[in-house]
Amino acid sequence: MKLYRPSTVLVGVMLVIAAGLIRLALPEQRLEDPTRYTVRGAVGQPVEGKDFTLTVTRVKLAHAVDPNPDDDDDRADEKDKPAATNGIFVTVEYDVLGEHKKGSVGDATLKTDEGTEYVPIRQIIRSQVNIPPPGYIESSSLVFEANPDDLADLTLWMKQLRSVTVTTEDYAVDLGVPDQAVADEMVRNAEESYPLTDPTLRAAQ
Amino acid sequence: MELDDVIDQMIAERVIHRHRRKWVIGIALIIAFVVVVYFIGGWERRVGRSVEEVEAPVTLNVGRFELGIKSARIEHKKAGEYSEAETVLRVKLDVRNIDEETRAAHSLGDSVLRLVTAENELINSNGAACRGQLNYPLVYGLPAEECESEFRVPAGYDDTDVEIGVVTEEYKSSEGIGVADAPWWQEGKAIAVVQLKANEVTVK
Repeated sequence: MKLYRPSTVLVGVMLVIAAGLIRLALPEQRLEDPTRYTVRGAVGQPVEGKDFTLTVTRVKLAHAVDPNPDDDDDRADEKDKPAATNGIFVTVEYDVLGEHKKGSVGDATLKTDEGTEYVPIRQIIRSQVNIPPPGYIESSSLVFEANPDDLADLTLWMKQLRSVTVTTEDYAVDLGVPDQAVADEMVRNAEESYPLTDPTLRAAQ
Repeated sequence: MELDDVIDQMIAERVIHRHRRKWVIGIALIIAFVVVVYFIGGWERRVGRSVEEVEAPVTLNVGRFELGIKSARIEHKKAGEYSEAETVLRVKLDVRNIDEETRAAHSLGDSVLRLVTAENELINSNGAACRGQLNYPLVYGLPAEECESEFRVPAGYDDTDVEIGVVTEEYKSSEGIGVADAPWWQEGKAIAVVQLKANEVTVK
């Protein structure tokens, strides 16, 4: 019996080449995921996600953040004492309307036009934007530690990962800092201390 | 036995015998080598370090961060009625985010600093606590924060000649078939052993 007929060899070679091509294609696709897209918004303008509507209501800068504004700061627990920074705190207040089911919009970060990325501070455990139950609005805030000299084009980014059959959405909210000059002005007018309040939940309408 | 089998056997013996002398010499050489190595007692285990030893205070670049290692303190906690005695080693250091690659705020990992004990064992740190908070995210572009790294050592540990191994992080792509090309921060090489003199204190 003839084991290696030309057609058998040809099929083998084709399989090897096909496997190589698939290997070549994979990383590329992972980097430029064609199913991903970004929903953009601005301060005061609602961002429509699948399960929620997010509206950033106010952005403020502060030199300190007081997690428990009602207590005596000198005698408070370590976690209730005002947080200080060598930079500046960016506080982002927002309303989220739950529309489908409870969950999370995902970890929030701030990015600037230089590509710098800021994350929520650790002292206040909140680092995600939560989605309340349908028909409720949650008002809450996030606090980021940032470099006052690198605030131009400040944008709030969130990413909601989804399963295989549904697309991943990125959300980007322009926080209204067009250039560093505006940022400097905001830093000059920054509050001494930002009183952090607990998230509140209310029924829509 | 058939004739074919006999012929096969003859051929096999020929093949075996053709290179027999070479095989015998080769095996004899290997045995001789083993015997010689056995009698001279093998090799000495290589001792010493391939990284440089530096005295604190010192400033080191570990990839994502610049660390200024300053001082060390051994804290003994006596056994209480309901708690066992414990000892922790704390190292004071300044940490600055110099991550030009991603410019992202990030906390110091727990495998960058490792305590090298007298028995040459490695004990990982707990990362770094800055402003009293563990895993404090250090912001790119801001000045250094004063932080503290903690090492869990056995109770009663009293070696005040502290040696801290420093391992860098490297921004590179993973190698392999089918992995994404995008580089990321991953563990790199050990670059130095920092030597400090620790103060011993007893805390309640």
